[in-house]
Amino acid sequence: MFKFSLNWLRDYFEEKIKYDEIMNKLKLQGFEFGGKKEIDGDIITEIEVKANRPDMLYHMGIAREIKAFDGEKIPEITHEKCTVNSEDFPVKISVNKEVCKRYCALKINGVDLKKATPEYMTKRLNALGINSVNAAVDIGNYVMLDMGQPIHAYDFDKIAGKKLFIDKSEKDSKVTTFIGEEAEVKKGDIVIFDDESIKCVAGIIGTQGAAVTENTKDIILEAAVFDEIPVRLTSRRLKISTPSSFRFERGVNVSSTRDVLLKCAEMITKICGGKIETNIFDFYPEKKEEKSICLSVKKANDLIGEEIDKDLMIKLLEKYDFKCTAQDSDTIKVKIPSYRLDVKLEVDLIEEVARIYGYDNIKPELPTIKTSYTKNEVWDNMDIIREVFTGLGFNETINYSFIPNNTMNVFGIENGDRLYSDLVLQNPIAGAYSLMRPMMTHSLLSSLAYNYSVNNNNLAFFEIGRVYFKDNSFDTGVKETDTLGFIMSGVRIPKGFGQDKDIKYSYYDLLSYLNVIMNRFGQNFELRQNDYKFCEEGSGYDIILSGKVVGFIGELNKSKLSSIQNVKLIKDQIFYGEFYLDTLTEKVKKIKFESKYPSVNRLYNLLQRKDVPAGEIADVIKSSSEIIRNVAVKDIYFDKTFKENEYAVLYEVKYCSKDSTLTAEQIEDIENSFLKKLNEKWGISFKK
Amino acid sequence: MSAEIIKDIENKKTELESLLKNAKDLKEVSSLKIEYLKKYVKSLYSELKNASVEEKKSLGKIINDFKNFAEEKIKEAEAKYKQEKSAAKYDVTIFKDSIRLGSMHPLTKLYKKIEKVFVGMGFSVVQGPEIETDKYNFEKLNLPPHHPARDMQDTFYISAPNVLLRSHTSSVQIRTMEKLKPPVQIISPGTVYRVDDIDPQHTPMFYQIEGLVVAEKISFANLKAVLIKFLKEVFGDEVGVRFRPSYYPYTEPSAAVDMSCTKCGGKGCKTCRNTGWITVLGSGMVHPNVLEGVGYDSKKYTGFAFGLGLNRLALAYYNLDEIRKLYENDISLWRQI
Repeated sequence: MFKFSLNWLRDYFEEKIKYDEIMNKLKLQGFEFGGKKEIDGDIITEIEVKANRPDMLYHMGIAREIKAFDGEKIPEITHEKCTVNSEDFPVKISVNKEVCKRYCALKINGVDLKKATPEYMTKRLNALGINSVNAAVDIGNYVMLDMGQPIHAYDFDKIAGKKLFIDKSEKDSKVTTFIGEEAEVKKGDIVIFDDESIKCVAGIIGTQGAAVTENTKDIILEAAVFDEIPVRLTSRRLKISTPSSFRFERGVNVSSTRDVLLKCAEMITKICGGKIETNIFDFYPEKKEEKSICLSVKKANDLIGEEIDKDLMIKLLEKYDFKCTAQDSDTIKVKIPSYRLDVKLEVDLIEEVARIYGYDNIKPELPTIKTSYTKNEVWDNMDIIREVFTGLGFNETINYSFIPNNTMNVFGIENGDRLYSDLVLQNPIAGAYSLMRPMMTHSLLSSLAYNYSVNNNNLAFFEIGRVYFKDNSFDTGVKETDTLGFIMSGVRIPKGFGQDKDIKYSYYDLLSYLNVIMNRFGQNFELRQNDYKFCEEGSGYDIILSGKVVGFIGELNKSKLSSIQNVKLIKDQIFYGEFYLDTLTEKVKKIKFESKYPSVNRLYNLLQRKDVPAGEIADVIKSSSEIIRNVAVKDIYFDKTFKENEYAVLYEVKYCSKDSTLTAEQIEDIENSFLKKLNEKWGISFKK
Repeated sequence: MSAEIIKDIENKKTELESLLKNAKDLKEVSSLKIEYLKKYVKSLYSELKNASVEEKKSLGKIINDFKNFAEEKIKEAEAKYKQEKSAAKYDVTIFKDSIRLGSMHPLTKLYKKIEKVFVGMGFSVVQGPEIETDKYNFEKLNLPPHHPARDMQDTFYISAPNVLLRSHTSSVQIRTMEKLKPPVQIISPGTVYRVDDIDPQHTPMFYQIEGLVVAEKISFANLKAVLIKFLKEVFGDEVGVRFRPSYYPYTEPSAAVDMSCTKCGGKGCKTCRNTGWITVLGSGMVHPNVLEGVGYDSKKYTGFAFGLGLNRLALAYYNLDEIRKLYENDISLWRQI
């Protein structure tokens, strides 16, 4: 983001420029409007400047962009002062070239800093959020916002030993910044120090050590270019971001450092008097050569998808200060302006061509690609599940993947348990959003509870999302599994329309929904009891597919989970199930039986022990004859006349033969045979 | 003789009229129709046979007039009864609240619509991990450590600096390219994470759809065509689309894609901050460094990539005000769509 002043920008134009026009030009070139404020006859506008365009973080850069757009001459930095490089500088400066690309300094003698900064300057600085300190500091800041080069001023008299070192700090130490705040400099931070103390945290902020005040007479003025990464790291660690550090992190034009320094010194002497010494210190170990890139016209057109001819391409680039020389029929040698730090490769130039040509002028053309569609089964299965569950009346939720850090504790899941996880974020937004969920239960229960709090009751939800477990066999150290969770509570079918009682969700509904979805994929699953502490006693079961645990079901234990927000509002039983989707593959089922003869249904009311699974009884019945097509449980009931450990189960058996219409005798034979077996095996009696 | 007949016809006219008036239902009208229009008219015609040539002419006209008259009156009566309903057996304005489909999440619903467009154009859907390494989330996307563009994506860490929650699904594109040879045409939908507190306009998690096409001779013009087709198919033909220069480290040239505001139609409103446009996509030509990084020959292959945040798009699509509502799961909102 960069804020600019319209009045300031106007300094670069002879004719009065129109606000809406310049904003439109900036937008077309990719600089998005971010807001504006009118202050005291000026318009302060914020534009979005992406990290690749530090040359748009100062007024001259913006003027340059607008003038280029209009095909006008690009502004340059001008100053009158002639100087000579000198070893014989009044301060002995030594620079470590590993941390600093260029270091320029000069001395101004006899300034009067009691003189006020000109009003237009303080007004513009204030409008852009920079407080006035004194004329030298203000002019430095002004120059930075004008020409992009951060400037720092030292009081010459306060430089101990008349020596300055620009290097990594050798030890940790505390400094007081010039605005009076403490900062901890760590070993390795780039600092500027003299014989006694740190005078500046390079590129970020000056200390009180050599700060200029209104009593300062002689100034050492510095313009430098420090390495981007160390400035960024120190700035982030100190949590100090200044206009100067912001620019250093993104890159400062090393070619214009000296010119800007001289321009700044000139402005200081004009305003505060004093005299610039002719000797200048300029450490510039690796002089940046003017960079040229060869651009292939064909390659550019291929990538853009247009036919822009070579001459037009040259014309477009030259508008933007890229000097071009045609090498051959296809190649243009392009000189890159020193301030365009982002243009490094041929493809960067192609972007410039496309941008200047205008994205809107590029004609769209659909590609023809010969690729084949790759099937994604897990993804397709999710669609099937959504269809099935919404069809059954379940609503889909999506919750955050991170759940409260105390979840394992609340759920009674211990280290070593299958569902245990301590995969937490290092920087969560809050403790309630810090554990990467190892199960969907907390998410769905929270959604259910939230809905009760906004008076949506009697609900069934499902969610398809991921669960996460530490697992070093993955390159990320984490195994992620797509998982389905489903939850239900309250009334499934309300009373009314001739029905005199509400029908509530029951454990048998939970089982049946699981059965429906597993059946949809042709899967035979088993259930194995597993007493999860967050489930009501005896209700927790693991779901087993081909011998592997793929999920679980249970009735949630509300009193155990009552600390979760709003769970107390849920008055009815809560039924929950979840299973992993990665092992689920659809098995094709075949039609096995066809008959032209009628089928017969018979009901059997069997008094049985509760601990004998109805499923096993059904299996015995079914296996007693191939004429039995189906066995279904229609009801379970308990009567006071029964023994405590017994209940009656109503089975419906469907008979059908391939060969003939069944007679009563045939059926009777079969039923006698299975009733006998059941009686022998489990002592089950047939209640007429 | 004819005078008698004429008189009788006149009588029958009045008779029929009053009988039709008092008829209770369609059945009665039908029997009158048989009586008067069929039987009686038939008998008149048989009388006509006996008449003289003179009489035939005038009587014939009178009979015809009667026939027309009777037809018209019976038709009227029939129409009247056909309009009248029988007593209602059921109140057809009553629907049971308990019989309804469950609702899909609005994000899923919108996502599926978008997916369909891309799958229709031949894109495959790929997935990848949400917990990622720095290598796939940043480095291989031309974002070396300490790159200032990393500031755009404030990242959650599992163990800094290497294991993190992906801040975009571009990581899936890298993983896919490492596995497949070009041509590649994929979308990588999924949940992504960026550090943001939960408030009406922010959530620390959102859904992203990224797309990638790499093949020989893929151009920016191709990118434009695919994205215009996508936006018009989802938001309607009337929607305006524009491309602006932008910057992403992993694409060059890069473009932000704006769509004319669906709320105000481009006139300017709160949603589009009075600009008439909403930025919906980031896109660009895949940077050669990215292609080379996965072992593709960037001289031979070019490609484009794009990404969109589904949540912001959903606000515009459903006219929803608060983005955080998408994760509150208040089912009364879902049921409206």
